[in-house]
Amino acid sequence: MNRRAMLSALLGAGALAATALSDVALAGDAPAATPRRVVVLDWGLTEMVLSIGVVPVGIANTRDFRRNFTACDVPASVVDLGLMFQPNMELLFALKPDLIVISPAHARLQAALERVAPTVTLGRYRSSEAPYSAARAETLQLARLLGCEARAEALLAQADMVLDHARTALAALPGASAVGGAKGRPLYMVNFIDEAHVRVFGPNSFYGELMMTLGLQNAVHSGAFSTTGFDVLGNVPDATLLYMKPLAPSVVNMMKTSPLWHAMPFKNDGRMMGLPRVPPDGCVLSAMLFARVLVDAFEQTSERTGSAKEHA
Amino acid sequence: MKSVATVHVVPSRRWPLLPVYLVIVLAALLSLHRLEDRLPASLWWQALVAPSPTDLRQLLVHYGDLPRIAVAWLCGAALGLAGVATQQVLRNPLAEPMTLGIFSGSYLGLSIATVYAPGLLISGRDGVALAGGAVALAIVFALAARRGISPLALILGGMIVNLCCGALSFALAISHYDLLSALMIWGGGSLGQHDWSVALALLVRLVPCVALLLLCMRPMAVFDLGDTVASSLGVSLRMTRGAALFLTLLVTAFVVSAVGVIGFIGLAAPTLARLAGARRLRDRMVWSPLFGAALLWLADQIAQEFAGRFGTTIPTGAITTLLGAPLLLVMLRRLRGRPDLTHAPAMQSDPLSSRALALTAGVCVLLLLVVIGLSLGVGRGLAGWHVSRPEEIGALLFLRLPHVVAAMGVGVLLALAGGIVQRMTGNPMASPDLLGITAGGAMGLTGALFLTASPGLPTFLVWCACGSVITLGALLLFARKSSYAPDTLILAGVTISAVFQAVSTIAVASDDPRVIVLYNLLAGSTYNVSAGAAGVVAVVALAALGAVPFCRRWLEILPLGAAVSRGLGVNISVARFALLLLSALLTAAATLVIGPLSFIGLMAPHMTRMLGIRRAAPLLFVSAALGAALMVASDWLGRWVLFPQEMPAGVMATLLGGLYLIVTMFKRNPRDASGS
Repeated sequence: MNRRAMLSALLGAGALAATALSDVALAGDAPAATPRRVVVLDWGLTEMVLSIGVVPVGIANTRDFRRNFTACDVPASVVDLGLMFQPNMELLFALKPDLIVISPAHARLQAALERVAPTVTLGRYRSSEAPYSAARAETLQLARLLGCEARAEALLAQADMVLDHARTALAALPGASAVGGAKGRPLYMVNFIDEAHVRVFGPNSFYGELMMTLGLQNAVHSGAFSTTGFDVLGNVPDATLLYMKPLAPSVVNMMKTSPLWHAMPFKNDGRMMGLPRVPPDGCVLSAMLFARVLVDAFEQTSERTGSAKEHA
Repeated sequence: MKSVATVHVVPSRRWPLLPVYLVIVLAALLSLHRLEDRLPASLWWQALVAPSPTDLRQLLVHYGDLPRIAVAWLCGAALGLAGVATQQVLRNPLAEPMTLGIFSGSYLGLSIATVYAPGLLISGRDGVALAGGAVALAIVFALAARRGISPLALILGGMIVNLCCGALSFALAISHYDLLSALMIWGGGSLGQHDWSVALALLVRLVPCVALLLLCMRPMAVFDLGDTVASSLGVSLRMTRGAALFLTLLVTAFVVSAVGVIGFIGLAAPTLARLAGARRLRDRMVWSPLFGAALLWLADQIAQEFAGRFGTTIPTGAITTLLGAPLLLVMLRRLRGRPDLTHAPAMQSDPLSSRALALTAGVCVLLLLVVIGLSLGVGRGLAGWHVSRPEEIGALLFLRLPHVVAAMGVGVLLALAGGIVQRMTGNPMASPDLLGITAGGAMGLTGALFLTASPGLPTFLVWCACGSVITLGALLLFARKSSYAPDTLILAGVTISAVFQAVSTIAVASDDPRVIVLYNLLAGSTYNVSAGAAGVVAVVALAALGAVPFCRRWLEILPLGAAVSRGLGVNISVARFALLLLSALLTAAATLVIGPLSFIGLMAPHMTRMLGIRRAAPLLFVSAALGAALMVASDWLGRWVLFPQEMPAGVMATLLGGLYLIVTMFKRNPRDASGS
């Protein structure tokens, strides 16, 4: 309980620091050449910009961003520019941005966007072998551009601390080795696509790298992710299953009725945990959230197994 | 495919079912190979009858592999039977759930439900899939009814509905990508099972439908005799046709809601049955389901084998489409009693006097000017709709002008291409999309996106141009034998479109993050048009307008039929080749700028004909003006209707076109009914 409280406190402090710093930044104490009116067209990069205390003037598809990137707080002042790959140009023009942050997938738009404001292409961290480390490097790169290196350094230090604490917390859990942990069982990290398909995340994914950092063992040994039928989850018999919530009704139904699901080793031994949604292509804020939801899930499970043992 | 064709040439009475056996043996071998990987042979029997609850391998076989095979059999057989039934009652060898639009209607229905009414899907997909398929089928029939439900009219109607449903699905996928990605993967046809419930549910639903269809067999056999004889025998053709189609619709909806879109089994199975020697309806109704089951089983085993070997999932539906598309080409050479496309359609309105013609043309040009004015001067911002002041227009001109110029240019190009194709083929429902050029361009775009690293605009242009040119080359090569006969061209176009569909299904089901970019590319958008590109399009459009007078004579004479044309001294092959090349180039230019998917080529000439303009030159010029106006309007609406989301102009144009067709259909049906 203590550890969880401490993690939450750390995260809260970080958020406060972010707000305070963004106020300073808005007050205009940075040099004039630093971009102040930033537009971000990519969700992961929107998180990156927000994480270093800069509030963008416009982002793509605000509604769906809020739903998917739960670690970020999007102020109401941020303008919705419409679709990610076809932002409304006139609205963009009217916002008079002085920097547009895009991902490599926006290459097709770059020439048109350059006419409105200088663009910078980031977001290659996604296709990196170590997405989280790459996202950290890109965060620093972005911070240099926006003149808030100090904030970024603080953010990364905070993230290190959060991940460190989470790692210690996970290693110290009494039931850790029973459900998966530092020296415990391997873990499958999956997203249910529908009742038959799962996206399984390997060590080169954002989740995968974080799991490794947290001292957890991935049941998959290579790659970023693959989309397969859920029957492959039986390949590692002693694995624990972690999945992202919420589940579609058809998946919930399948879990209730399918004999195959009930025969899955993790299901039999109750080694499965649902985690609150963390985007699979997030940045540092999402990484901290991921660490917290993992610790929460493991602590709850070990409390449950602990109390079950007492009852027995 | 080749071996099957030989069987037809030398019909072997002793081994009529040899091809089925071959497919079954192949599928069975692949299945056994898969089973062997899973489980030692000594445990197979146990896994089949009473799997040990502690042995996951046995459970996987019992609840995964076996029901998957059962579902493949059931769906394949059901689609095979559905194919025979529709082909019989419509006397159309190309009719099947895919070509009739049922699949895309069901898929669109499911997309809409997923986004706006997920509650409808909790109890299952059946109802939604059925409703979507029924609406699509009804529209296809209403469209085809205008041409007396002729075989090709149905296929074209189906294609129009497929395009429309596709555009709507695109719009939904672009704006609600995160909700629909699951549907995209499933929609490619996924047969994966995790218990016997789907197989049992399918069995329970399909058996009554099949029984009823078999009951209809006797009245259905009468369709072999032709309408007149059949009616004189006292069989209600309409009743039988309606009942058979309704049952087909039910069967298809059940299959879609169980396993997603499985294309071309309904086409391939009856064709193979016929080629293998099944002549009588009774034989075909037994053999096609067998062929269907065997084919889908094989396709699914290939899909699994591929997934196991390369680690990437390939949807079973894409494999069936890839197998089925070449079959369409084989079919087309064997199609007996090809529909007569040169038959001039009944004209609904009287020709215009020259004064009325001038007036109509003037109104069209005025319309174009009004739309241009709207597009340049009216927009939406954070404060709502507003009319821009002159200095604002000046400031925004660099954004708005390329859109308007490109939209106009593309409108003109597609309208001219459409007008030429419709004149040349004598088919008022033909459009440049149907030549497959746009599909070729789209394949190029897909290739650029997935095969090159972060492609920019020039890369896309080059790939798209290559795709279009290769397609055009293939089309020319293929159609040369038949002196570029219209029906050959269109069926080849349908085939190319089908192949593209399979490719895009594979791409979409790959679960790659780039899929959303693909959707944006394929929707036909003026979004990325640079000032330079807009200028080039404008120049090409002007050149095309200048070329119209030179092909006037051909366009006047060709619709009169081959014999008349030859009598008047026209070299048909040369004329068709030149016109095909011209329209293909115009289409390719348009595709390069805004991407595939545009209805303008179909709609603009059609509307012009409805205005009463007959002669080739005025028809082309007026439809160019209308096409430009429609395209500019679509572009403008697309930018502002769902503000701040910009809908691609291609999607808007397709929706406008679809609405227009449906409206005219309801307006004109009574007259058609009384005329026939």
